[in-house]
Amino acid sequence: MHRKIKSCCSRSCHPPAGETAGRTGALFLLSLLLLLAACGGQRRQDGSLRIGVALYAQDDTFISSMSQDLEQLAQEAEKATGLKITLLISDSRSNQTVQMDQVDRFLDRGCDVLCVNLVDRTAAAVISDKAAAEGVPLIYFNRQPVAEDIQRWDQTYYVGASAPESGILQGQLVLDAWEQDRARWDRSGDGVLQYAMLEGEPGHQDALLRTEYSIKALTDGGVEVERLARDTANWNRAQAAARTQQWLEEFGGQIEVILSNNDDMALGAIDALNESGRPMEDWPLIVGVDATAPALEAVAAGQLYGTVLNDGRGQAQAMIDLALALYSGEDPAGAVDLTDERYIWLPYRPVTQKDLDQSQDP
Amino acid sequence: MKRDRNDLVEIIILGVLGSLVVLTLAAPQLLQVRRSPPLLSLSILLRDTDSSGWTVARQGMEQAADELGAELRFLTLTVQNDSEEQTAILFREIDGGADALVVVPAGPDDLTLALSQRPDHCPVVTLESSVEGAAGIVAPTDEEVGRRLALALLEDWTGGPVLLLDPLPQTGIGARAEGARAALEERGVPVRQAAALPQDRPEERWVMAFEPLATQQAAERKEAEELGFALYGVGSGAAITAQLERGNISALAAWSDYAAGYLAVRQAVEAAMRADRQDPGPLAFSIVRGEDIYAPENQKLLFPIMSSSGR
Amino acid sequence: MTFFRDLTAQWGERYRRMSIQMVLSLSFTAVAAVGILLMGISLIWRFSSASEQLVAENSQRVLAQANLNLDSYLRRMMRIADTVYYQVLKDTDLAQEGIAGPLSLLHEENRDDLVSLAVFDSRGALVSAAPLSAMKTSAAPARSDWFQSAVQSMENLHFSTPHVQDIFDDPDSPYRWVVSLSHHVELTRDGVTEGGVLLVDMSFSGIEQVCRGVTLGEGGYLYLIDGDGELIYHPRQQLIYAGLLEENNRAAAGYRDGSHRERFQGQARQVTVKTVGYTGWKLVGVAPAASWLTASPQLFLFGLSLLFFAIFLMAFLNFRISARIADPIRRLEQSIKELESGREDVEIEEGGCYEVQHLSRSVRSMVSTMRHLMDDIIHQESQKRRSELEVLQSQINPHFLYNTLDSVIWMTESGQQDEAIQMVTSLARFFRISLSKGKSIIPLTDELDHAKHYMNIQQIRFKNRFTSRIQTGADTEGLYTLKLIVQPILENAIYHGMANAEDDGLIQVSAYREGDALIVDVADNGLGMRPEVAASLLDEDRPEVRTSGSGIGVRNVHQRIRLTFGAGYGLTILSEPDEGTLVRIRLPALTREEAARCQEGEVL
Repeated sequence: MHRKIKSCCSRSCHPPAGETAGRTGALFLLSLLLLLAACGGQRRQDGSLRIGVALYAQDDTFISSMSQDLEQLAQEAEKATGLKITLLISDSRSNQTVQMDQVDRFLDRGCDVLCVNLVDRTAAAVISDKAAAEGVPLIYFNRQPVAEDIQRWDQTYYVGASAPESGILQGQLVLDAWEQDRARWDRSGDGVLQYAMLEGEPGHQDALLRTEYSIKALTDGGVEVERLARDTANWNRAQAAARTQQWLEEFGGQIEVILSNNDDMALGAIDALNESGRPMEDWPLIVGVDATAPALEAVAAGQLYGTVLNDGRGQAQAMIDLALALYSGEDPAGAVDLTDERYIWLPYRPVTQKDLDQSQDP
Repeated sequence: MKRDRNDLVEIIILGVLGSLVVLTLAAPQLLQVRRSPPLLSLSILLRDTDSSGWTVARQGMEQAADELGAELRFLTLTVQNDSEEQTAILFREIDGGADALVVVPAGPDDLTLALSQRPDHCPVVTLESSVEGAAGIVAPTDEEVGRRLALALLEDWTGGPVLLLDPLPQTGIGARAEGARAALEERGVPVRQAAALPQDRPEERWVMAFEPLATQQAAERKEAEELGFALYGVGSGAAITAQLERGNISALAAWSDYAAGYLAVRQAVEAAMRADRQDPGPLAFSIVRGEDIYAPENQKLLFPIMSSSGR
Repeated sequence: MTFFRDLTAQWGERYRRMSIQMVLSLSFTAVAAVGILLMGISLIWRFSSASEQLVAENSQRVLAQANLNLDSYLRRMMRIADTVYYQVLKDTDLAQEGIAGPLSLLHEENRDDLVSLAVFDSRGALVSAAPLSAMKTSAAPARSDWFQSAVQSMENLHFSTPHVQDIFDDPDSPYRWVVSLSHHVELTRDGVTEGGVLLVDMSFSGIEQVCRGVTLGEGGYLYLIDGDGELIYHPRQQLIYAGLLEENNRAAAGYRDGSHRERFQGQARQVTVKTVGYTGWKLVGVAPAASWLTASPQLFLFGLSLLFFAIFLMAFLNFRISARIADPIRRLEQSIKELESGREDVEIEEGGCYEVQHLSRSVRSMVSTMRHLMDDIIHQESQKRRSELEVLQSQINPHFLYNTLDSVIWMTESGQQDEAIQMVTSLARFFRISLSKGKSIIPLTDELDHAKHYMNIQQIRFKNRFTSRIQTGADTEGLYTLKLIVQPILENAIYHGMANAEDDGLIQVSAYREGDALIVDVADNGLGMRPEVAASLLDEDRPEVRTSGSGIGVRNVHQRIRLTFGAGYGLTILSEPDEGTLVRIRLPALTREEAARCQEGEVL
């Protein structure tokens, strides 16, 4: 532009005037350059680890205790490593759209590691793509996406417990009880195990797998079983109580075992039994999964025969360790026990009254 | 001579105009940089071992943090009400570069001492108990809470001594107990103070608790052991409200934890940015009885809407 | 006021003293800037009013969409109520079979949106519910609003404002916010029909989801109220419930559908209202005025940037154009200034635009005319002087001639033949030199000869009352001088210095060279005079006093020398009373060639 003007008025231009144009142009360019330089990177790097944690629903007892564990463990890790760890925890309130927004916000705020407890495990692809676009390591936990979605972004990991294992352990708990004290539990005396199944949310993989594998463990153990009733209670204590109440009215003492996909529902069944005023000796054998605090109380009280410890704290620990390793660029295999390069499986542990006594004795 | 001066004027004018062009072109970027200032880092120090009792307050805090551009770190103690540990965490957070702190003091005196040791400390806003040297406090008027709760008790009172549960005498909770004691003694009601419910059945038929956790625990024991006392407490969480509804608590002094959390973070952010402070004044509270629990204004007070914290 | 006047005066002064280039460029730029600014302002104004319209239209469109979504959501809920009523309750005799199955099926199918489905009889006792739950002991459905409005107006479906569900017992996740839909139903029991109420508790988050996704531009939001202005959904509902925020929902209930401007808490904003069918609820879209008034700051800044760029370009062009106009003028001015200071070889160049070229041409021709005129004047002036000179020269002769001839006559009569002869001879020599073939510059020797003959004549006349001596420096040989310059001084010395003197008078003429100058001193030891008189002798302004002889002669010589050779030459008179007088003639030392050139110049 300057050039053009200069040339068209060059006849009358005097050296100082030409110089003026040149100098102004130089000034312009210089400031532009400065500006471009100023608009450099924005990402914040302040030597602190920021972990975004999206929970599917904070009102889920297990998830809620896991978030407490995460906070405490982060605080401990902070003390141990001296690295500042900031946890940003959000509650997706069982809404995948909300979760997507929250993931966007975490990425926007420059989280170093993202931990996602999917609301809808089929939505993992979108989240993986978002994280991959920002180059942020991603840890799924509690709800396992399909392998294809984990492969989408090579910094994706899954921390959880294997659902079939929990089913198998639950089944084995029942099997042990059945074999040790058949006289007590085989109320009908026909050698067939009559049971009722309280299932979690329809379509939830844990619900499906636990249901299937607990029975499989029993049948594999050579026990003949008969299902009297099954219904979904959405992991929910009140709904489970209502269902159980119905069953008690319908089948009375025929139910020998109540298998529940989680502890909350098992407690619901206990609520219903309490309500019915039945003496404890006549109660069916009840087993749950998760080993939440109220469930352990129930185990201690003898109402709940046993539960399977879903090691929430262990999972939380694994997540923190993994996040720390990923943040500092170490090989995650050194920090946690990786299976198939991407999976961290925390073992389940059966908990019965006996186990509680043992753990309290020492 | 004159020519030179003209040239100079020209260069200056053109230079100014040119730089204005550049500036206005660049301003959006500069504005954007300014619009997303680094998030303030706020640490929330609780006096509990987990933050489950603070879910609603936390929602309020997160709402405020979201609106005002702050990031929250929730820090709990390993031992309930351990003021030494709290002080240690406080120092660590200050050293860690926190822009402001929201503290629920485990021991206000220790905290006052801690703050006076660190004159360079970042602003501290307290919840529940006031602390000298803090930038602000969010709490209801404690004596008034105690007094009004005592008045609610007096409405039902049929005689006999009243047991005041006061686990933390020097905090705001202690002040509530003092308010209640004053109101009761004024009416000649015998009063006994204790840190917690006795292990065996308490003799008193009237019990007042001044802290949500104590209220909840007392109500749970009352329900579990079918104790025959009338309980008057404070708090607003779902668990406490359920006890109120079931009649295990006779009356509750309740305020919005959501508002408390929101105001605490807002004050902390304002203090950290040294902005104009809007002093919210003491929190409003009301006395709720079991039968009024579903009155519209009490619904709004007692039950948080699970409003989307994301937006 | 005075300050203002001072300022104007100051600026006026500055403006008057400003160069043409500055005036041109600054005023052009200022006018351009004002024009562009006005254009910009009007554009922004137009733009903001258009964008307000746009915001209103956008709000209405968004609200219409939200309305559609909400409507379909509510319709779905009403469909569920209808299904329960017509497909389940109407066909079922409650005494024979339960309705839990179908209810639970419906609930399961809509569990994302429904908290519960329940049927109550006319006394408020629970008939059936899904999901299966126990009723709270304290629950009294018959007393609640939804129950009563269903009973009061049986044909309608009723929607409540959000409230906490207080009917069913739920040990771990109690107290959910719901919006209740209630409908009066007919229950059949043992063939007998009775009234009842169907309650569909929609989860609050269902409505929230419909409204939450709606965005209304920068800072805009949407909320939902019922017909009385009671809040149903607000993006910051919890803050409002906690008393930390206020919303203008009561006023909004009174607005009709469409866009309105309102001020709330000191903030101007645009509120768009859309009534949801059947329920009487109102969707309210709020767009703060800031979102359209300043457009977006980016856009505003971009406009500003364009404006500055335009001004920058204008200023640049103006500086160039004004330089093109003003530079030739300034150069012309410079040339004229040099002319004024007297330089002669000033070149006036032609350049710039037509008018300036024309002007410089005119100036140039004017200068050359002026030079011609000046040359003419000089020529005429010198002619005039020359004629004056000739007149002066001719003034000498008759007087002297008369005296001398008188003396010759007297000598002849008294028989002094030799002396008479000598005198006549000297006289002849004297006149020959005086004439010198009409040349005005003659050799110095001739001039001194002329002086000697004159002295001879006078000595005879004054009977040797004085003696005279003429000395010549060797270095004066071959030099030329103006003729008839020594004689008038000698005349003066004789008449004023010697006339009354005794026999010892001495007049001494000495010629010598002093650098480039030729000096001829005429010294006498006569009466002398006071220095101030001596100084006044050469004063041209002095009135001419004719005494015997003539003082005029001396001044004449002085004038002639200066006319011929310039102000650096002429006479100097040094005198003291009773001491004598020295007249020093200062002339350029002219060689022959110079003399010839000088002669010529004089002729010219």
